Formats: sequence, structure tokens, C-alpha cells
Amino acid sequence: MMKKSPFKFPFNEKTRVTWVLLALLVGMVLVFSWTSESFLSRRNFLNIMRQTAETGMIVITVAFLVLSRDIDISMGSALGFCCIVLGLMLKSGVDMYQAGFLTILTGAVMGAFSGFLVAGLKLQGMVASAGLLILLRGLCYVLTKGYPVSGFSDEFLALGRLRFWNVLPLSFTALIVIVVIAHIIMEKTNIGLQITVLGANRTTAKFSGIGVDRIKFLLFTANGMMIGFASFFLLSRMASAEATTGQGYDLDILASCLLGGLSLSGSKGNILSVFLGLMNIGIMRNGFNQLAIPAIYQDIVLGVVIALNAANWVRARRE
Amino acid sequence: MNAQIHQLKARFLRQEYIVTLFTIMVVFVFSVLPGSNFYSLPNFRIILSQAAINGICVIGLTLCLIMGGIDFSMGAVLAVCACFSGILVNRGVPVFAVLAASVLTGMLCGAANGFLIAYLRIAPIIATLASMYVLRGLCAIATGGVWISDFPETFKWPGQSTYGGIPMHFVLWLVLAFAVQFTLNNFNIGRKFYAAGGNPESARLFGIDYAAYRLSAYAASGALIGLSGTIYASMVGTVSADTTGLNTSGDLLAAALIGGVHINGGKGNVFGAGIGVLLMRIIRNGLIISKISEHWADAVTGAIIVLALVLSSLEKFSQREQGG
Repeated sequence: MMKKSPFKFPFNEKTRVTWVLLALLVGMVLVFSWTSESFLSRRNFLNIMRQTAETGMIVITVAFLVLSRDIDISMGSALGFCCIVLGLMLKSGVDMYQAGFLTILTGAVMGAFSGFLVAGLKLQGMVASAGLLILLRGLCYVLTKGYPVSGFSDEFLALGRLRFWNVLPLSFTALIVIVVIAHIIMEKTNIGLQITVLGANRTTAKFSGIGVDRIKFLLFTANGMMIGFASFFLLSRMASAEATTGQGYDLDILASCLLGGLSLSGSKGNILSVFLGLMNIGIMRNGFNQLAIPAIYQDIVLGVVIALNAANWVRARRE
Repeated sequence: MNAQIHQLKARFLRQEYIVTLFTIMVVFVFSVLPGSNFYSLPNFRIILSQAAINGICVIGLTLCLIMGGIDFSMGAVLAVCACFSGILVNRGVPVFAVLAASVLTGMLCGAANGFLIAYLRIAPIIATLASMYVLRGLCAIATGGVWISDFPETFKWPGQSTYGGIPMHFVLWLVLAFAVQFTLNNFNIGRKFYAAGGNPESARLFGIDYAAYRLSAYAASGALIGLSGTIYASMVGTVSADTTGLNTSGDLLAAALIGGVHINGGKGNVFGAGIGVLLMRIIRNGLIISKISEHWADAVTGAIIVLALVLSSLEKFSQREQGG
């Protein structure tokens, strides 16, 4: 009898998506470094990291929601709203860290409200957040009166430029920490298991004694808090908040989740491949920008990614 | 005792009544604000004329919602159709041909959405959000991002002709709304719409082709948007890829939901949604006329959507208490 090798190459049905994404990532880096000279520079990689960091943080909490078979589509508006709240607080002289804390609190309140609509009033997450999407965007216009909010202290702007060992921006470091924590939660803890079960079958979850509504509420609240957290970095990178800030982020976030192997029917996928999906989209956007391909075509590519994923889902269900 | 209360609730908590009451209240508030010009014939004409554009679109959205769908790309489709008819008219194509082409374009966009949703089974919100970005993008490419205006005199009639002071496209809206609701209420195909939307599984068991009905709801909705796209271009006189119909999707959704069309499908009618459209239009118009910032309008729209959702879910709870 052959002895089982202690190390088995981790390639199976579950990790397939991760490997495909990794290959895609390497392929894209190779192609872009061939088509554009400035792609492989340190400066450009710093740019990619800083640009994907804020989206990435929200992607992780949205991934939790998708895993539990729910979804939020108001991320873009909520992000813009948090940025504007933070900007206005900073302008009126609130201390930087206090303002950041209050922004996270604002995000938490927004998230808790959608959580209440979903868990308490039994609405679908998509539908509840559709209302919030429009409401929050409207509030953005009301708060800013259509003018951009800018002119922050250097101390605040320095946070966006801060980087460790000259290579890791602060925001990206935060993202990596969040990804690691999220991965551990999903793979090793009881909560992760409960989320997976909830995503797979709500009724089973309920009869297994899982507090379905409590989990949904907590996930939405966490999502709101993360949006508040991300808005801190977004504002210090952009140095100005407008009423349209965050528009179109929902598309990137959804596409990252779906490209990362999550399924809208819940429970399938893991956090690491979602992170790879995010990096793929970040690098695609950056590479296309350097080739001077307009953002419109990039949006179309993302739309196709979403459609392909959904088609994949149909096939999986038929089998 | 409890049963009686529930009966009273069921009778008076009808969403249509609440909306009508709400509309009257809003009209009242705007008319008593100091220095308001709200009560004037020209203003009412403007409200009707603008409401008719959204009103024709909301008929389509009602069909989609009844089939358990939702549509976020309506504003984008409106922009595509309006820009397309603007370009055609400026090339000297006869107005009737433009109208037909616009309706056809809208129908194609709607059918594409419907295909994604009905046959590829993508969640309606995701599919239409994606197609919103794609359509706006394509429209911007096609128009080169510039305003389209300077339409010829002959293009005035679809959106600017009036009869005794009443805009003709308002009459068109009433006729269409009546025709669609009559079909929904009295014809086999209409009843099947409600049946399939209310419970897809049982409808399938009864031999109703759920996917085909879903697709046709979206296609019909697209065609109606195409129609109102041409009217919009004719009425407003300038169209562009990134500003036309920017608030339309939200406004329509708010109008339909507050008008008693149920988000989970199978319930609602065109007239309720129509009253919702009037309400939304009056709010927007009143805000502008009372010189309150129009920026509030979007916030109010969102608040109304959330309110409508809460109302519908409360209704569900009260039904469950009755054991219904």
C-alpha cells in the first residue's frame, strides 16, 4: 500500500477558482508589462495598491453578505455619503481621529438601518438597499449643495501617502490585515460556518438553531462600518469629496466578488479568491488606463464578467 | 374585536389610499408656502406634460415589477432612445420613422435585459445595473459625449402639441394606461401575467411559460420607454448621453412602489403607479417652485422608496397575523 504523502498539492474543485485567478493575474501582469513600459514601475504598483485598497475593504464585507446569500447595492452611495460627512467634520475643525471614529459610527448606523430592513422587516437586501442607494445619493447632494468639499490639513492628507518600508501604503496594509482576519473568520470559526450554512439553506440554518436574523443584522452593520472605515482612506487619497464620490464603485465591488468565485446563490467561494478577483480587476483597470482605453469599455468588460458568472451559476444549477 | 381591527386595517391601509392622501397633503403644503406660484394653469400644464413622460415609462416598470423583476436601466434606455431619435431627426429622417425606430431600439434594449434575466437567470437588479453602465457607455460613444439639439420644426409634434391646453402626450399616457390595465384585468394574457408574477412555480405547473412572459414584460417596457424617449427629445429639445434620464430610474421605482405595485411581484396596477408618478412630479416641481434646493428631490425619492417598502412589508405582517 502506498503511503499517503504528507503534502498534497492543493488543487481540487474547491481551489480551482483560486488557481485560475492567480494564472489570470500573472498573465495580465505579463501582457501589460509587455504593452506598456511604465506598468512594471514601483510607482505604478503603489498606485494600484492605493486604488484597490478602499474598494477592497468593502469587497470583503460584501463578500460576507454574498456568502450569506444577500447583497447590498448601496455601497457606492454610502461611501460617498461617509466621505462627505467626514470631509464636513474635518472642515469644521473636528480632530482627525475623532472624525474618523464618528464616520465609522455613521456607517454603522446606515448599515444597521439596512440590517433592520432585512432582518426585522424581512425585505430582500437588494431591494432595501435600492432605496438607500437613491436616498443616500440625494443626501450627498443636499449636504454638499453641489460644491466639492476640500482643503484638509496636511496631517490628514499625509495618512493617504504614508507607506511602510516605502512599498506598502497604509491603506493596503489595512486591507491585507482585514483579508487575513476575514479568511480566518470564514475558515476557522463558528461564525464562518454559520454564515456558510445560512447561505446554503436558510431553513436548515434556522432549524439548526442559528440566529439567522442576528447574523444578517450584524453582517449589514459590519458592512456599514467598513464603508465608514474605507471612506477615511478614500478621502485622504482624493483630498476632496464631491456629491458624486463613490459612483460606480458598486459595479467594481460586485464584479470583484463575482469574479472571485462567489455565487449569488450563496455559500460558495472563499475570501482569498475574492481578494484575487479584486486584484485582477484593479490591475485590469490600471493596465487598460495605461493603454488609454476609456473607462466605458472597462465597465463593459465588468458587465460581461458579471453576466458570465451568472451563466456559470445557471449551468451549476442544472447539473 | 381583533378581527374587526384587522378588517378596518385591510380596508383603509390600502396603499393607493395612502398615496392619494399623501399627494393631496403635498399639494396643500406647496400651495400654502409663502410666495408660491404652484397654483397656476401653466404650472399644472408643465406638471402634466413632464409626468406623462415618466408615466408612459412607469407602465412598463409596472409590468416588470408584476413579473417579480425590477429595472434600474430605464434612465439609460431613455437616454439611448432619446439620443437615437435626436440623431435620426437631425439626419432628416421622417418623424414617423424616427418614432418607429426609437420604439424598436427600446424594445431591443428591453429584450436584452429580459434575456439576461429570464433565460440566463441573472438577478434582475444585477443585470439591469450592469446594463445601465453598458448602455450609458455605448450611448456616450455613439454621441461622442456632446449635446444633441437644434431639432427641425417638424419634430415638434410628438412632445409639444396640445389640444385645448392639454398636452397630447398626456392623453396618450391615459390611453395607454387604460389599454394596458384593461388587458391585464380582462384578457387571458393579462391574468397570466398576474398569475406568473404571483407564484412562478405554480404558474409553471399550470403550463405558463414563465421565462417567455418575463422576457415579454421587459421587451414591452423597453418599447414604452422608446416611445417616451422620442417624446422627451421632442419636448425638451436637447438630449445628451450622460444627463438625460439621470433621475428617471429612481423616480419611476419610487412612483411604482408607493403606488402599490408590490416588489415581490404579482400585485399592483398601472393606475396606482400613475398616481405615484404624479406625486413624484409634484414633489419635484414644488421643490423647484418654492425655491427649496432641488437636491432634496433625490433624497425624498429615496425616502419614499424606503417608506413604500416598509409599508408593503407591514402589510405582509398584518396578513400573517390574520392567518392569510
